[in-house]
Amino acid sequence: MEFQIQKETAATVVAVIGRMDAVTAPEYEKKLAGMMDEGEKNFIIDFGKLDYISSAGLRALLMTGKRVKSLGGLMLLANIGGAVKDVFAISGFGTIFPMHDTVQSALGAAEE
Amino acid sequence: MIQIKHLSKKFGALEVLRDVSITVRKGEVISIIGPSGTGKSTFLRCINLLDRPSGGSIVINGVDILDPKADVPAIRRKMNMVFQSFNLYQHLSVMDNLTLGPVKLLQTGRQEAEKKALELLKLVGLAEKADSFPDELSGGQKQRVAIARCLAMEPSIILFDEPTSALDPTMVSEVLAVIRRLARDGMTMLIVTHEMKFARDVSSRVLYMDEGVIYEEGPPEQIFDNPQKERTKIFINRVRSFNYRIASPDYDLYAMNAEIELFCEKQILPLKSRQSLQLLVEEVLQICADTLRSTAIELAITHSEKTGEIKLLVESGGAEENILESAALPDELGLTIIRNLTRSIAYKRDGGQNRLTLILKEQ
Amino acid sequence: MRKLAMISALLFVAASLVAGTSLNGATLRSPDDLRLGRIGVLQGTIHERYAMKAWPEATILQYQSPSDLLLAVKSGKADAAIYSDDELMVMLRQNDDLAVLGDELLATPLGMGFRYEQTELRSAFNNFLRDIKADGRQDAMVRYWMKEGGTRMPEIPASAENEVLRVGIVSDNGMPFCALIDNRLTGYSIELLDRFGLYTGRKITYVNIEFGSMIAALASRKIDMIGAVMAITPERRKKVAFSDPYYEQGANLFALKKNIASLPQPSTAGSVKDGKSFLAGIAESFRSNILLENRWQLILEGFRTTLVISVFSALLGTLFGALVCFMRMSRLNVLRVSAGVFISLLRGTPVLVLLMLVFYVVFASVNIDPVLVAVIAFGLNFAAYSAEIFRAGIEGIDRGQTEAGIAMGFTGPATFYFIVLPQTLQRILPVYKGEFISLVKMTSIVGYIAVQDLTKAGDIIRSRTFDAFFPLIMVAALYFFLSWALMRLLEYLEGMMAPKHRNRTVAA
Repeated sequence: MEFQIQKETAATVVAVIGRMDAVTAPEYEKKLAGMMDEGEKNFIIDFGKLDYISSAGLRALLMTGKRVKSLGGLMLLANIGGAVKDVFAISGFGTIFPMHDTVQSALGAAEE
Repeated sequence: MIQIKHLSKKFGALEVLRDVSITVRKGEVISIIGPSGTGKSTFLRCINLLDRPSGGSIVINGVDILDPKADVPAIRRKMNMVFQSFNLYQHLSVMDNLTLGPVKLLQTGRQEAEKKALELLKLVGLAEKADSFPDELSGGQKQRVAIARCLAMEPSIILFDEPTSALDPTMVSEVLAVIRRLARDGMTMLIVTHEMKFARDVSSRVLYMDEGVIYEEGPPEQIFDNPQKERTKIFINRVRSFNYRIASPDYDLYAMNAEIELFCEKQILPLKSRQSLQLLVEEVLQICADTLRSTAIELAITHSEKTGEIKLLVESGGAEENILESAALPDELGLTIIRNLTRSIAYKRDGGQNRLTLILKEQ
Repeated sequence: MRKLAMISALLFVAASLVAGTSLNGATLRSPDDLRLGRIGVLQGTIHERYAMKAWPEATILQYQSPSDLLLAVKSGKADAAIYSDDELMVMLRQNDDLAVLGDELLATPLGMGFRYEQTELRSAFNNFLRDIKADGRQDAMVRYWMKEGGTRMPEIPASAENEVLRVGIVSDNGMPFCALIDNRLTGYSIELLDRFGLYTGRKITYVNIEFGSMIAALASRKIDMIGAVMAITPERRKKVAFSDPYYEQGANLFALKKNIASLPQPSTAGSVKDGKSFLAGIAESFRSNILLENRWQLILEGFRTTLVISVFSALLGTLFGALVCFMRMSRLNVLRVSAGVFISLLRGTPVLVLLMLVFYVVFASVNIDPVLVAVIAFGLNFAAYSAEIFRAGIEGIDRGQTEAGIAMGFTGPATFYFIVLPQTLQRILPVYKGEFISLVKMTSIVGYIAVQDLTKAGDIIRSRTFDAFFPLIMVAALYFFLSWALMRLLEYLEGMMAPKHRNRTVAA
């Protein structure tokens, strides 16, 4: 798994690339925890280049989401499609986090 | 059109064909299926005398081709063949591959032959490759050119000898599509194939060959859905399977995924099925993480060619327990995913083993 | 790198070995000093036998022609060499770095050679000899050729009769006996033989043969008499019926002046004065080896002969090779086995031996143009190789190609012609070209059966000019040019055969 990070005024956009499974999910948790330690609290997660996600990945999203909330921050999911969208659908995960079709619309939401 | 009676063929002491009789009528599409090494290809090659039969008679359009006086090359011109290994003429361009026969054998003018060739290349979707050479084409393209080359001779019947067996799984469908089209246009064809679904869709009649004889024949519905004889049943219902043993919670997920990928490719499963299968296996193994500390898990994935059903079998030792129910889970995420991916989940204790059977939902 | 180092090490060892055995400085005082030296002789001459007896411990080096002998002494490969005194005088006149060592070694009578049953011809010659001795003509000839160093043939009318007398000679033997001057055979032997022709009323045809093959040529009736400079010896008498001696010839040792102690050493100052510039040297060599006496005609003639033999042997070999290839691949055991035997035999025989066998044994009693014999011999050899090349090429083509052709309705031969053959040709051409170039170079041995090819032309020129290196280099350059030109021709044909494929590869 790889990350592309871009800091915007309203939030930090984190694009996750590749697979988010039992092996790589901890990497994601560590990455976001590190950024939160540096003072970031608003995140937009871009799923445009993610090919695969399993429950381990969902769980990692959940854990970081909780921590963000405890910091009074914001975590928005954007650009979810393909196989990843199917997994969100069958796991009922879609209802837990607000989801946006594009990073742009998520940024707009974060600014409000 | 073709009457074959009591055809037999021996290679030395080995009897490959014994007493094969069949009549092919105009416009029929006949698929020949069966285990490998049962004489399917030899049967085909006997029809155009690439292999000379040891006995029996073959009458094509009223001519007994085993008669020494028969003009065999003339008969072959009306009965071309598509080979497993394509056999495009390596030294000629695609265009020349198509025109060589018509120009030299049918005395067609070069211009006319080229015009016709271009039409045929369009038909198989390869008009822009006319000036390429065979070694520049992919396997699927080569086979489509080979089919076009066949058609250039305007045959009244085409023999296909395992036309997709030498192809990468990704290229099979492009070739089958061309053959389907010929079937629709009413071409008489004999096809030796391992593609069951294709055979079922395209054929007007299916021959199941086993041990040198036509063991059972009939319309595809009968052979595939309701085979009458024992060996046909076994062959039709046979499943392809894949086994993988996991002995530790720190198993190599990616190595296993790669193997699942390979199996799916061989079985020509759609991309969606592959992803679902990978997800299902990962989720099951996540839940079994604790179990893996004490006992190994045997995974088996099976695919039935007839029904298209994909099954995951999970077998583990240890005390009797249905892991999916007993595991101490932090959340229901994994289980939810598993439930939604499968059509049925069954647990059975069998021979001291815990056996879970999960059947993937149709995609 | 390691290979290079090894090669240079080997070269060094070889060089020091050579240096170690050669005589350095002015060490030769008399013939006895050659006891452990290296002595050059002409192969098959009585000099050879003399040297073995006189210096049993010395290394005797055998050479094919006088110019090779000269080259060996000049380049230091031999410390000294034995050669007939009359020819030696001519040679020394043109090479001032050589000198005679010691006194005359031996004197031997020379005779014309005949087969024993040719008593009539032999006594005719003996009568002729008696006549010219009696009227003083022979003395005049000896004076002109031997003492005065003459180089012009007198006009002797050829006999009007049509009956041909084939006389074996060695055209690069050298003056005063026999040499090509202005592309005309000249010398004492030639005058003697021409006059004999007039005397007997027969038309003399000269056949140029290696000295070592002379007796075999006589025995196999390739020639009617030996006119080469041949000493009468008891061994030769067993095979050859000699005429009365027509000349008594001595033999001497010769060596580089600087190695002979008794001679004043040429001063270095003198050599500087004599030393020409490199370019001037080349120009002089060019003049003497090519322009003088119209020698370029000889070269041109030789070049043409080599070209003819190469091209026709290749054609014959290719056609016959194709036939052998088909036999080899036949279903019939008889054909297959005989083709196999043919190939093994031909490939296992040195081509020189094959050439001599065809000339002296197979066509022994047939009057056949030796160029044709060469074409047959090289053609047979080439056939054996090309048959195997063809077979490998054909067997390398996937069986599916044939099946596709057959299944389409081509007959067997048509499938071969339209589908298998073009692919085979594409595959075998690189190997075939290499084999063809080998053939061109292999033809350089036809001198053995009296064909004047390019190599032989070089030898003849060397025998006249005594220029050791220029003719060799020129001949090498011409062979290179010939190979190159023929290669280009083949490549052109190759291009014509597969125009599309070729254009495409060029474009890509």
